Amino acid sequence: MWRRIKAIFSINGISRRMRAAFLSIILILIFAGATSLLELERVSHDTELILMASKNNVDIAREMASALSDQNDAIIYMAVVGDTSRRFRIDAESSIARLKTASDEAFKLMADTEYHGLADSLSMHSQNLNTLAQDYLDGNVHKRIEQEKLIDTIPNKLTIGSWYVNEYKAEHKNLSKQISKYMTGSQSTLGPEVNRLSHTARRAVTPVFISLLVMFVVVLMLYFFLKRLYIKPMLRINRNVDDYITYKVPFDDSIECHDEIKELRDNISTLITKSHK
Amino acid sequence: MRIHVVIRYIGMMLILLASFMLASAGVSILNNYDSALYPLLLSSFVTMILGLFPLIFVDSSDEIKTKEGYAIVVGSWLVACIVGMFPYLIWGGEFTVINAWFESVSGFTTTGSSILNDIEALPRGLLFWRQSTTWIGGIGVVMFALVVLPSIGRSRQLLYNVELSTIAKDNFHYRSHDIMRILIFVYVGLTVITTILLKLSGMCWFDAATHAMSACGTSGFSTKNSSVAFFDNPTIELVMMGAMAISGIHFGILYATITGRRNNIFRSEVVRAYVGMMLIATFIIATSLFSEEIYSSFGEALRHASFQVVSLTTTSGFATANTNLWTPLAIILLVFCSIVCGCAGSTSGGMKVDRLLLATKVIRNRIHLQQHPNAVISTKTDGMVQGDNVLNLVMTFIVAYLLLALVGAVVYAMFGCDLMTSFTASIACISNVGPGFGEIGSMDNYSQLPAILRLNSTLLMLIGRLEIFGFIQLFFLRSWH
Repeated sequence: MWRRIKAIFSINGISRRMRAAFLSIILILIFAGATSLLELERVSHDTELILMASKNNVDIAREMASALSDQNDAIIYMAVVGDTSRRFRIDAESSIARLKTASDEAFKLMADTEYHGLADSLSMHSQNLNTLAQDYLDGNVHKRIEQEKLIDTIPNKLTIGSWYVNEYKAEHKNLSKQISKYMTGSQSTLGPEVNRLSHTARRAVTPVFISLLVMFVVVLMLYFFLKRLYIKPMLRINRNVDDYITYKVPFDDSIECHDEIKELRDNISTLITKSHK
Repeated sequence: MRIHVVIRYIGMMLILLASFMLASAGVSILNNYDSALYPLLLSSFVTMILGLFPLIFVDSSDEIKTKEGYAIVVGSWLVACIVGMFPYLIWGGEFTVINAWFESVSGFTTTGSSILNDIEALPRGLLFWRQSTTWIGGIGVVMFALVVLPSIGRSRQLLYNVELSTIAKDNFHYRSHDIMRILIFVYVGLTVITTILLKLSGMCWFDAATHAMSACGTSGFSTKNSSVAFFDNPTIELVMMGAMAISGIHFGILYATITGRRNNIFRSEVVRAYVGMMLIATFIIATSLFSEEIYSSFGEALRHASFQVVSLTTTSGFATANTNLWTPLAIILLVFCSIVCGCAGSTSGGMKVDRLLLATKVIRNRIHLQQHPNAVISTKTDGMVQGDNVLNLVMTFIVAYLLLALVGAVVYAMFGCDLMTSFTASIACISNVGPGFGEIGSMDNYSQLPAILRLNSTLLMLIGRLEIFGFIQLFFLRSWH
């Protein structure tokens, strides 16, 4: 059984051996190339994921900041300047919706991370600010002002200006802080992805490095085998033939060699023997 | 020396390793294509190419010289350790180059010490490869190749002579051709039986197989962070103790016992000394632990003492207790067991009971000779007279072993280890035991040691596994005529 298997896989002759050796080298080259391609693909995929996540975080933060600014502008125009045109009302209402959507999205992204506390407070402050703005739009602030006017015992009565400064602006400030915290915090949530990328990058380099190392060893072996099994015996045969021709030194037919070089040695030896006869 | 012939045989050993990597990849596939599949397949491919390449140019050689035999054996161990790193390196995690080298050397030399802080984080495929290295290393990398690869032909005898411990050959009363078959028969049989028994004791198939491989290879690699203590199961401990103790006996004697021959374990002086040493050490340690109230009952003290004694004597290194907390008497006895270790011709490392037995007889005879200068005294083991050459070898080995342990300890101390850690780490590495005491106790690992000491440990493991002189010969191959 073993002999049969051996016969199938046995390689004889210089030509076949060379072909097999170069095929092995080509195989390793293809393998190293394919591995690096595959790994680079993986690194690029992971990098893309991180960049997308980072871009998404920046977009959410920008949307929240923009909605906050629009809402603030609309409230200032309506409450402080006293411009009651419909345009500002529409702006305020749309900014409330935008702020809610963006903060909900931010909450979803951070709820399962170690920064969930930040997500909670961001959501709470945006909800508070939206409630204040909605209260103003619904006329509840004006109702409170009217009610307080009727009660004599209240020392500092609510005005639209004081509502803006003490209630709305204060919450606006809190939410601004939370948004800036979110901008840094959301980047930190990418930590695991960054770690994964560094792991993937390392994994991308190691197999390629190992394949190249193996290829280097294989090439060294090829050089060694060629020199030891073919070149050296050939040089010795040549020198021996030279010696025979020049000095009639008997040809050494015990030179260790293989394949066609062995045949060459034997043929030369036979030729010399025949020429003697 | 015909280097191309040496490379050919090392290549054949690499093919064997590549097939084990493939088998581990199979385990990965069975475990839902875990993350080890890719590293194992890649490693298998490059190892296979490395192994096959020399076969393209070098035809099988029926005769190899002793010098070439040494180069093949030592070269195979070194190359196996290097190639064994590939799956670890590609997988990543805690495996830096030095850590992967440490884990690979520790596996092949069956030392069983680790640098991993979280073994359970490893995927099953990689864990199986880790255990495979210890299993291959247990019987000897070249020995394994000799049995598995049929084309080696007449070269077997020489390679087996070089690979097998000098002292172990005397106890084999078989033809060299049969010895390898016997070794594999006993080794595989023991592993299969242990796996089944561990499964019946409550382990899952994977844990049972991997622990059986490790116990029969007397390595001590576990798939759990807290080693065998994780299972906290006396039946499992009993099965493991049995497997380790049997693996510490000369395989030829085990085969003789199974086949009903005369030179069996019941008649062997060495086995009696080996079992006696373990029994005495267990009893003294258990009594010491119970009297110092480390364990509340004598039964519990006996359970832990017996497991640790068997584990360290057989150079396995599995743990069920933190031996750092034990009494000084217990620690000294365990260190003694780590130095003496199992029988020659087994999978265990260390000085070997055979050598200790012969050394004590030489000392006894020396005293006797001083009293009766004209007496003719011969030194015998199992009724066989041992020649001066064997006795000289034994004494030289013991001296070399102790000197090496001392030098190793000095190196550990030079890089800041305390006395206990330095001394026991050196002993644990040369004897291929694994755990020592102090910073590298039974519940700790080698990860806290600096890189230079991890490298030093691997060097000691290799020297110990190649029985000191085998390794040293490698550097004198040019001057060897």
